[in-house]
Amino acid sequence: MEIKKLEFKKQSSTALTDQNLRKALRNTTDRFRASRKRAYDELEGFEDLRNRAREIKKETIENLPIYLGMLEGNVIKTGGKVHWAQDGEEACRIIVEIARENGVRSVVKSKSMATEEIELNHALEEAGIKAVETDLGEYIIQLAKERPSHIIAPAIHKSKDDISRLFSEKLSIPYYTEPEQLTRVARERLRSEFLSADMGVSGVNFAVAETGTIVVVENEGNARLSTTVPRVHVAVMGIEKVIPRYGDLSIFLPVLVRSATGQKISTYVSFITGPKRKSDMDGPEEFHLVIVDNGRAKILASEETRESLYCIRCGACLNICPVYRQVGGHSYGWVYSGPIGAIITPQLLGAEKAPELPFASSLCGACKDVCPVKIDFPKVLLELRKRVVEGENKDGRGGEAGLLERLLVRLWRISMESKTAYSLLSTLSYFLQFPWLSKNRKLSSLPYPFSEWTNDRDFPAVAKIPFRKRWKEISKI
Amino acid sequence: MNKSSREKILTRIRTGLYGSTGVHQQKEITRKSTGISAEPTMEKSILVNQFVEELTKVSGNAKIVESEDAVKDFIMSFVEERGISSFAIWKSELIQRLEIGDDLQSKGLKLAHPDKKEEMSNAGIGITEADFAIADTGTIVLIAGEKQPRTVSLIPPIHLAIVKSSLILRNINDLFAMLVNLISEKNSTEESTSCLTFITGPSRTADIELNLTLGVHGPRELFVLILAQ
Repeated sequence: MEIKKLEFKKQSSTALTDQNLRKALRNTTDRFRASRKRAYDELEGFEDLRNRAREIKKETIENLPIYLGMLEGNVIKTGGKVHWAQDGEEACRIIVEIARENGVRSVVKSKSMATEEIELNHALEEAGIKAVETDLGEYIIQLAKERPSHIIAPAIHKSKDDISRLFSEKLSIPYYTEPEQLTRVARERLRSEFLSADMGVSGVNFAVAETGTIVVVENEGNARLSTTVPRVHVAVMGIEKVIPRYGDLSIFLPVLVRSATGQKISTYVSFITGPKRKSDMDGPEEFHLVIVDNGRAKILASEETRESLYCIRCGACLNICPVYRQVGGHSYGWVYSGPIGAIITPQLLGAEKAPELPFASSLCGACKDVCPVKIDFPKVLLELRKRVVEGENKDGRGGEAGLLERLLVRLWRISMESKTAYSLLSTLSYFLQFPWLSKNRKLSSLPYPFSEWTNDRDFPAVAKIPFRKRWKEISKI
Repeated sequence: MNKSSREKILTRIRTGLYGSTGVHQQKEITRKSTGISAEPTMEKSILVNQFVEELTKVSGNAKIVESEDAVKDFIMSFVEERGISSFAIWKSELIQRLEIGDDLQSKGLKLAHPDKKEEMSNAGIGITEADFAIADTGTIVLIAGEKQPRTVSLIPPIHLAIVKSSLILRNINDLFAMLVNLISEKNSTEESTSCLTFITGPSRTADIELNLTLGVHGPRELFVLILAQ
C-alpha cells in the first residue's frame, strides 16, 4: 500500500482540459451549494448549532483518550468487540481475520471514507473474499475501478452516458439511458448480494461514547441492509469520530445533513448498539468496531492543525471551493479531496508525499465560512505551507524552498520593512517593467524566476503613481 | 498484538495532546443537555399537519385515520388494491390488539418471518408501528426489539407504519430529550435496543447526475397512518 508522491499540479492541469468533467462539476457543486444555502437559511439558530458542534468537537478531541476508552467499554458491555489498528494494513488484517474466523466468502459494504483510505476492498480480494460496494455511486466507481471524486457523491464525475456504457459493458445488459432503469438494475443485482453476504462492513458517522452506539447516515438503505442482514457486522472508524453524549446527536445530525445535501434529515439514520439481542429475530449476531489511527494521532501534536480532526465529512467545503470546482476530486490524488483533502492528506501521509496540496487553494476562506464545525482552513493551510517550504524540522532547513526563493523572500522582507527600500523598489520596477509590458497593460511573460508566476497568470502593471501617494491625495478630500 | 496496538495508539494520542508526560487533568464528564431549550408544547393538530406536510415533501404518503378500526380497514383494502400476497409485520401492542396479522392471513396472505431471508425478500409489504415521530422533519422513529424486527421496514418494497398522533413530537431536540432519558434508563441492559432507526420518506438516491430516484435499496413507497387520538 505504498503511496506515491501526489502530483496535484500535473493532474489538475489534465483535469482542466476535460470539458465534460468541468460541466459535471459545475452542475453538481452548484446544486449542492444552493440546497445547503436553503437549508442553512431556513433553520433559525444554525449559527448557534455550528458553534456548539465546534465546541463539542474541541472538547472531545482534547479528551480523546477518555472518550475512546468509554466508547470501547460500552461497546463491549453491549456484546460487541473492539479492535485497534495503528495503520491501514493492520486494520485490513484485523478485518480479513474476522472474515476468516467466520468463514466469510462475500462482503457487502456501505459507503465509508475510512475503508477507502485503508484500501479494504483490495485486502479482502487478496484474501479471496468478494467485496461489493452497495451505495449506488460507490457501485459505479467499483465497476469502473476508480476512486470516489466527492465525499458525498462519489460518482459525480461520471455522466449518465458514461454510466449507461459502463453498466452495459460490465453487467452485460442493454444500454439503458434512464437513471430509473440503471438504478433498478443496481437494486436487483445488489439485492442478491445482500441476501447471500456473510459479512457487512459500514463506516461510522458518529460513535457515542456514553452508550457505545454507532450512527450511520444515508439515503439509499444500503447501509441498513449491510448492517442488518449479514451475520457479522464490522464498523470501521477513525479515532476522531467519537462524540461524548447521545444528546449531542441533536446538534450533529442536523448540522451534518444540512451541510452535506441540504436535506433537513437524511432518509435513514441508524443508531446501532452492539449485535442483535438474544430475543431479536434479525440483525447481526456479531458486532465488531475497528478503531483506526492511520496517522491521525500525530496530527494532535500540533495545536495549529489539530482542528483538522474536527471534520465530520459533509463535503460542503468541496462544493464551495473555487479550486475543487474547476479540477475535481481526482486531481487531489488520494481519497480526500477539496479543502479538507488539501489539509488532511499531507498530514496523514506526511508533507513530503503531498507537498503541492497545501498550495491548492486561493486562501479565499469560503471553506471556513461553510464548514459546519468552523475549521479554520486558511490558518491550517498556511501552517502546512510553512512545513513544506521550511521542512518539518524546526530549524527551517530541509524544506522545498530553493536558494533563489529564499533570497527573493528575504529581499521582499527587507523592502516591506523599510519605507525607503519599498519606494525605491517600486519606482525601479515601474521603469524596469517596460520591455515586457503588453498593450493591455499586463505583464504576461516575465523572465525567470518571475516566469514562475506569469506562466500561469498575468501580473498587473506597476502603476506610475504608487497607491501611497494617491492615498495622500485622496485623504485630503 | 492487538492490545499493544491499543496502548500504542492511546499513548500517541496522549503524547500529542498533553506533551511527553502524557499526564492530563481529567475534566469531569458532564451529562448536560445539549439541545436548544424546549418551548411550550404546541397544539397536537398543528404537529400532525406539519408532519403530513413534511412527509409529503419527501415523497412519503401520510393519512390521518380517526379510529383503530379505520387503521385496519385501510390496510385490508390497501393490500387488496395492490394485489399483495405476502407480508411481514411487527407485533406491537396495537397491531396485536387489532389482530391485523391474523386477518391478513385469513384473507389468504402469506406471513413472512423476519428470521427467514427468503420469505422476507418475497414479502410485498412490511407493517410496523412507530415509537415516535418528528413533525418538523416528517420522520418516524422505529426501535428494534423482540417484537419489532428491523427488516420489516427495510426489505419489502412497501413500508406501512402506524403512528399514534400523541407520539408526534415537535422536533429533533424534543425527541432527543425523550431518548436520552429512555436510553440512560436501559443503557447496557438486555432491554436496550440494538438498533434505533429514523426513517424520513422512501429510499432515494441522487448518484446519477443528481437525478432523484426513489426505491434504491430500501422501500420505494412509505405510507404512514396517523391514528388521531
